[in-house]
Amino acid sequence: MFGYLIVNPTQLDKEDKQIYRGFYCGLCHELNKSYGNTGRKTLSYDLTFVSLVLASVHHLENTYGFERCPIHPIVPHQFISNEVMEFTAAMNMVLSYYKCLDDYQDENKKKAQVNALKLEPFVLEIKKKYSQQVNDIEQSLAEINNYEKHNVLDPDLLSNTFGKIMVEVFRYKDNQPKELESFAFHLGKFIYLLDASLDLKSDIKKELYNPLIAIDSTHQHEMLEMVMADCVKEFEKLHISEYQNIIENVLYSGAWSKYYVKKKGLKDEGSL
Amino acid sequence: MRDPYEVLGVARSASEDEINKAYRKLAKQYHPDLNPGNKEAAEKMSEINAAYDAIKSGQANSYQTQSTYSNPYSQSGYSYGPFNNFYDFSGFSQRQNQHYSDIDAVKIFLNQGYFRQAYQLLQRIETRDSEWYYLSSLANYYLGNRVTALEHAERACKYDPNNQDYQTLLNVIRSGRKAYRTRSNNYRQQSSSRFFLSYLIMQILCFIFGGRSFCYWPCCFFF
Repeated sequence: MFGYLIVNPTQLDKEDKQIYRGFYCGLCHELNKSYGNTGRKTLSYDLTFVSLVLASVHHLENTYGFERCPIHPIVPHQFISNEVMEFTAAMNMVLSYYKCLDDYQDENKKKAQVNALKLEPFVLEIKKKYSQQVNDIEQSLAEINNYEKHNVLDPDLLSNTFGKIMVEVFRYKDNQPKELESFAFHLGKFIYLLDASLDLKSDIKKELYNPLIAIDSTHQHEMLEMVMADCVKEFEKLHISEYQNIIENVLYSGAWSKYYVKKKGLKDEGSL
Repeated sequence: MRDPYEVLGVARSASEDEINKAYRKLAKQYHPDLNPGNKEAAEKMSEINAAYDAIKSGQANSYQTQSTYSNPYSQSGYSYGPFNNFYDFSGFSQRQNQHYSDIDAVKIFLNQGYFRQAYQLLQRIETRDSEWYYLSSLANYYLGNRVTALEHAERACKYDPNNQDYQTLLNVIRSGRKAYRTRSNNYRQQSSSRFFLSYLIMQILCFIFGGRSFCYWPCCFFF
């Protein structure tokens, strides 16, 4: 995905930081265990967040371990593992694979093609195990590609399709609460629209597709806030207590980091 | 409104690809984001958008065949599904002004909660005035299409600034994010600029060491 679901570390206390980092390292550990170094390179914050939410919803027990890794070779650090990590690691591989494929097809990046080829055998294995998720993701991505090809300028339609992808990424078990699905859907919508709004200028310049091209961009911030507000409403219905601080930190602040960094000159619209 | 094909500068026989390319080229020239503060460009862009929209939705053909506009109910076999019995739609189509009968039907659908049907019918109406945008905003809002709902409510208010209903709708749509905004602002005011600095450093490191799709330099610099 796009690396938008990150925390704002200045607003986390020490304990939460440790948990977050534990999950991050745990996912990295799991990727290395299942898919080797190729897997480790795909590590992302987005799936760390997904792991946190799923672990919280299903009240999973954590086991803790210590290890050294190539990135932190000197000081051993703690990692957390639980049963959802295997699933999120698989989803991480799948999403990285399609991202590479997309980069290669859209912008003809050679490096992306090489990476996609490396990931392919793993993804085929994952497809056997999580066939529903992978097939649905594939189908939604094909839909998005088709809309892009025909230059469909309906941000709701496009972001809804991306929302469906997010629902699959969160489909760890079949009997999950409905609110979780709805939460994932709105989160996906937000990510898609955020990505589109950040790429808008460069897409126009390069004459590439962007779903927001025909929308008045003075209200972009408002639009993103509305979608995120929907997402948070669903989140509240889940009544999550574990890792609540971390998850809320991402939803209220961290997810906007890239937006504020890129639009630093952005004037505050003032409250309405 | 000018002939949409003329606005985009393409021939009537142009393929979809050619039309899309022409649109993107014009957007590069006139999009308000690339021409901040330029009112002329903004106006030009809305004309281009309207023209593109008209061509895409097939309405542009009516510029050639305006006189033969026919009753959509009888010709295309559009079905109201299970609601046929609720209302006598024949009365609508007998009215002289086709546009009003469609708008009335949309209102009935909205009142009854048949938002999908209202939405579909709205797509078929060609005259897009402030009322159309108001109703479209309502239908989209209830279907969960927040972006379009906001956009269309704003347009309705822009075309008819004095209408209280339009203003109310816009406020309702906007108010959904109030609680979120308050909390989100709290986070923002409390966080120092240090965060953004460290974020930028992280991005640069990612770029140098990892390339774009593979990030090898993760959160260690944060903590």
